[in-house]
Amino acid sequence: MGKNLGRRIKKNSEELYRLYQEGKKLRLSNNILAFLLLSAIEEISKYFIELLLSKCGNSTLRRNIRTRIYNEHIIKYEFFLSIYYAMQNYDVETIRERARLLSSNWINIRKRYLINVSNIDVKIEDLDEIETYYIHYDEMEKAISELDKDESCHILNTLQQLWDFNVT
Amino acid sequence: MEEHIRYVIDGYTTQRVEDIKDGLKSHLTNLDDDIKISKIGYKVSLSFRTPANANIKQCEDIDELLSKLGVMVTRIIVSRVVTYEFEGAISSATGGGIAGGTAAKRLDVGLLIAALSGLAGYAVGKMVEKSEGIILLCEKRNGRWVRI
Repeated sequence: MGKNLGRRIKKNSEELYRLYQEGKKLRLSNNILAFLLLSAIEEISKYFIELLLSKCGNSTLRRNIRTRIYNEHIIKYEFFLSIYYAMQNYDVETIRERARLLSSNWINIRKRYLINVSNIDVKIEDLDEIETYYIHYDEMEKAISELDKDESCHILNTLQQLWDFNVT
Repeated sequence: MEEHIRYVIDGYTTQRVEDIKDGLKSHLTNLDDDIKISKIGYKVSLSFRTPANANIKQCEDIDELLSKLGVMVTRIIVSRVVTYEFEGAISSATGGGIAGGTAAKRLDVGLLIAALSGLAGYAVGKMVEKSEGIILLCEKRNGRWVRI
């Protein structure tokens, strides 16, 4: 079940990216293209979590993360970006700051498509930037697949405590 | 390295965040970190932490307390956590991995956990709050608390 779900999620992500590329050729609006790319990133973030869940093998964590984290767009972005920046050896403060800022930008971009504010279009530079993050996912996937059981559980235990960040 | 118990609670409320926070502060006297509350629409998530030697509150007790403050609780997660100062990677974009375009390097798990704990709002600066595992997880189903 776990492995199949992971594979299906990864396939979804690749399909969303393929749709993005097709959409680009058809000159679809940047808002739609950005939505497709961000959805692909969310799916790949879920795939990374599934990889960790299958290594960790803790059913309580699995249930809690699937019901709690998979619904939260911002947490999926933050998790993806944290891995991305951690692999570049940024210092911890920089990772937190960048992941928080960029994920918040991505939420706003995502809303533009959903709310259909057509007079504010996503800039082409933003679109290229999001794509740059996505195309490196195989490198992140490889790094995650090299982690052991304890490391996977430690990451998931901390991840399951995140929430949609607006703490006061 | 210090040990603590972290409570994360999801629910719904029409109350103001400040009122919930003040109410909790007056009922919970043995906290060792600020109470954190996030409210979006009517959906609320809140979190507090006690020292490791404090009694672990049961889901029914937490629910009773929060219902007095106007919060309808749906899920409670109690975890064992440790806090420590992170002394890991300090360089900035030193190449390798994704930025360098070279062969993939090993993911620094300590660094990733430190970053995630900061994003959760539990840690600032070099402090890290790492979750060691769930002690208690309950969900309310048909008005009854179910331990998972």
